[in-house]
Amino acid sequence: MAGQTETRERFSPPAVGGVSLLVVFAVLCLTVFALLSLATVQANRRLADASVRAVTDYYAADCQAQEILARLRAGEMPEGVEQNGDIYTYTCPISPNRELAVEVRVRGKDYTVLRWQAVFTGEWEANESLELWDGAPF
Amino acid sequence: MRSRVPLALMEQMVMLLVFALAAALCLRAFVASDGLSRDSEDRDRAAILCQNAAEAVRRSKGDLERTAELLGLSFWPEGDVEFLSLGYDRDWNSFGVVREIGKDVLRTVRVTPVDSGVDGLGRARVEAFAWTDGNAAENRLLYKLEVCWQETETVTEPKAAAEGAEIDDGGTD
Repeated sequence: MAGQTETRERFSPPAVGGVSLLVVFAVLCLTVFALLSLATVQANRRLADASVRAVTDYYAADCQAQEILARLRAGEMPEGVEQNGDIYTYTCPISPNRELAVEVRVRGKDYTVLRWQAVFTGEWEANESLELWDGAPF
Repeated sequence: MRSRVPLALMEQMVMLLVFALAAALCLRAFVASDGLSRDSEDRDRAAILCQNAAEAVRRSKGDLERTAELLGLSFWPEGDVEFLSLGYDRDWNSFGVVREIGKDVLRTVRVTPVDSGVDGLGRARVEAFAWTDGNAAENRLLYKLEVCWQETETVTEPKAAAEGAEIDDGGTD
């Protein structure tokens, strides 16, 4: 009897809960990496969307400007065009804060492009929150 | 004292199940991320190639053979063509000008001159497609833009013009 008691006392039961902790940690890592991967892809997708939209919008405005120019050359006076002698000025919207500013000289069928420029029309605000060195010695 | 071995085994089994389930879900998320990433890359490449083709067709004023030359493609199919089709493989490696969708041609950029409806104005539609493997009937539009140009030549000297200098505008009169 005494021998059996000693054997029972020496027997150490397997640790319960260690595997659970390990798996919880592994699953947590997997979940975090999966979410990071999805977040990165979504951010890239938004950037790609914005880039593609910018190109599409520019070409749409460019086509509109070319069409107005063709009409001017045909002797028409499309809406929104300002005339100063033989120089015509107009703008075509690219996005809410960008537009294509065009200035052309038209003489009959001949024309010269004086300005064909995408300009920013939003309000520009200087960022003065950074404390930069102004060049003055200490 | 009762043995804890069955309890430990049960815990391991349950945790294995939980891990397998979580791993399967995460794997799906990784696969979805990869698919979205490939889609974005495809659209980006399509937009860049469409811009290249658009500028080439604008420069050549709608002449498709000259457009192909400007894009660095010497091969030109015999006979009249209504549109210029540039073929690429899945990774956007160029096959040059193609007439049909082949086994390896899985991406195409098509340049089609269209009627602008305005005298003196040229217009072309540039589209990029992704084709399903081995199926020339199924395609997916990746990107599309339209480009316009004036049919006659001009001289553009914006700097000189801005300074008020006289410009020889290459007039025909």
